[in-house]
Amino acid sequence: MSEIEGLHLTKAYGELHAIQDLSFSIEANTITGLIGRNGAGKTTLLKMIAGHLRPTRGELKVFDQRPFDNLVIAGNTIFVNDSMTFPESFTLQNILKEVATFYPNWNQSIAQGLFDYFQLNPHQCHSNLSKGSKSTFQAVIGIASRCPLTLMDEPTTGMDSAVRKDFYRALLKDYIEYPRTVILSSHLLGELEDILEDILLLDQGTKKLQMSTLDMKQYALGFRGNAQAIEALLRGHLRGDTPEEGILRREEFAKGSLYVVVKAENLAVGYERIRRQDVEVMPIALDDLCNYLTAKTKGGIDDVFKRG
Amino acid sequence: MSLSEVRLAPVSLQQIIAKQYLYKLKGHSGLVFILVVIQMLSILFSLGTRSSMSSSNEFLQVIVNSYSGEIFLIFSFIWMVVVASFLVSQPYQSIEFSVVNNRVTSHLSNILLIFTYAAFAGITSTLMAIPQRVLILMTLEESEFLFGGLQIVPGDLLLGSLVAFLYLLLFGATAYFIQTISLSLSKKLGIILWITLFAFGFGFIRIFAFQIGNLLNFYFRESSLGLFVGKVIGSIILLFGLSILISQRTEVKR
Repeated sequence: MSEIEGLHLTKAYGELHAIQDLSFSIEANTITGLIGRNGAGKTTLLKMIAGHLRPTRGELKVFDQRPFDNLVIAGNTIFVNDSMTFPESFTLQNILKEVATFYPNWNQSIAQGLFDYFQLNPHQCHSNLSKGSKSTFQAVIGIASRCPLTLMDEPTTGMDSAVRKDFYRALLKDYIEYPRTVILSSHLLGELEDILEDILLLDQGTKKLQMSTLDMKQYALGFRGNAQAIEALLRGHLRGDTPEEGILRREEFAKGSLYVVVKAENLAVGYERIRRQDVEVMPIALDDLCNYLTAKTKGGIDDVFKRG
Repeated sequence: MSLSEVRLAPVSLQQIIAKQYLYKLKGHSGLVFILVVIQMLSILFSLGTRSSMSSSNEFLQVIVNSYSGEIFLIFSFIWMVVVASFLVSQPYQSIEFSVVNNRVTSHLSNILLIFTYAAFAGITSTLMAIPQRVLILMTLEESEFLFGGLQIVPGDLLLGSLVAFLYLLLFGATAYFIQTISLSLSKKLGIILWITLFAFGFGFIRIFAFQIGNLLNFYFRESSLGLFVGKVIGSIILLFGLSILISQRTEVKR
């Protein structure tokens, strides 16, 4: 059963549409990655789900209720982002203790365990923390609160790679022990893909695609090789009205050589047959796939430098 | 059974208000500390508020020095206005919306805070009369004496505290209301209202022979305690009530 449902959701700031006609649903007890480029509308969407922003048009339901200014939703949601702030007079240790009173499922042993593991200083003030430590501390709160709906907007900003990996693992372990609905927004899909079950890819305020991480890994294939062989392959084996619609990316990586990324569903034959035709077949990293899907041109940055 | 009944923890309005109230009371304890410092300083100021009256003949000279405690009140009023506006300011809103909150719980816990602060400031600024008297007594010169000694009638302190409390509430509610407009409707309108308040409230503006600045006399000039209490309570209900209504659709900027 879906826990969050958006129907033709739109959020406009004056002329600018941060979210436009977005319909989606997120299942209960899943970890969903909210992926998209800068300005794709990730934060706006999370803020609407958290009940901080009011949709301009369309319908948004969280646990069957409208989330805006809704105390029941607020009481069951934690929204971690970098603008989380705490009173100046509290030390980190105070904050853990005080914040805990708001969340009925708060797990103090996990909070304290993670706090000590990440070597946060209990007597330090929140505003004096470095960017990475701030994110770490807030991530600890996000995990330990065990809210039925846990929203994290760019939770790993500023963390070093060791801490990021520990954080992903901690989140996953606690999620398995205490299932809940988690939405993570991030740029670092490469690191996240092992813990994500679903991916919701946003592009300029609309849904580009939403599917399970497993399906997405098989969504597209890359081919590299001699330009003529590749062109022949594209002509021969691509389904669809025009071959171009199946091509996500076309890149010239050396003179006479071509690299193309093709949607798997548009391929008429299995990739085993193609491999024989001296063309290299390769899987596409999710990170790259999302970049290709949300790119304005098929050539990427190379197009800027193409002259004449 | 709906989805929300199965999965959601029940959330009680009163509990969240109480939690928010305690969270902010502890978190913003620095504000109360500032008041204490201000009141310490204001004792020094109060010694400078001496006004003298003297009469003499060829054998005897009598000088009456009188000291006023108004300065304590004035400082507390200013403190209250600043504190109440802080509570509705962006950084303070960010703090309370980082944990479980909505507009109603935010307002109601803030109103409780303002009542608490007003009670504290009202009582302390009235009690300041005691250290003030001690200090005056200590600085007396030969041939001077303190009228009434150190004795202060408890009834006077009680009445003083009550009236100070009510004024503090009134100032707090006004500042809170204007800042809510500033946050929810428009900053410009907020500034206009602040200016209007000073103009109408303290009477800086005269249009021809007509003094428009007597809004505050509605309260200041009231000689019956009962009516005064009624006017103040009516006003703060109006101001806080409007604040809640205005911000119902305000989004959280965190």
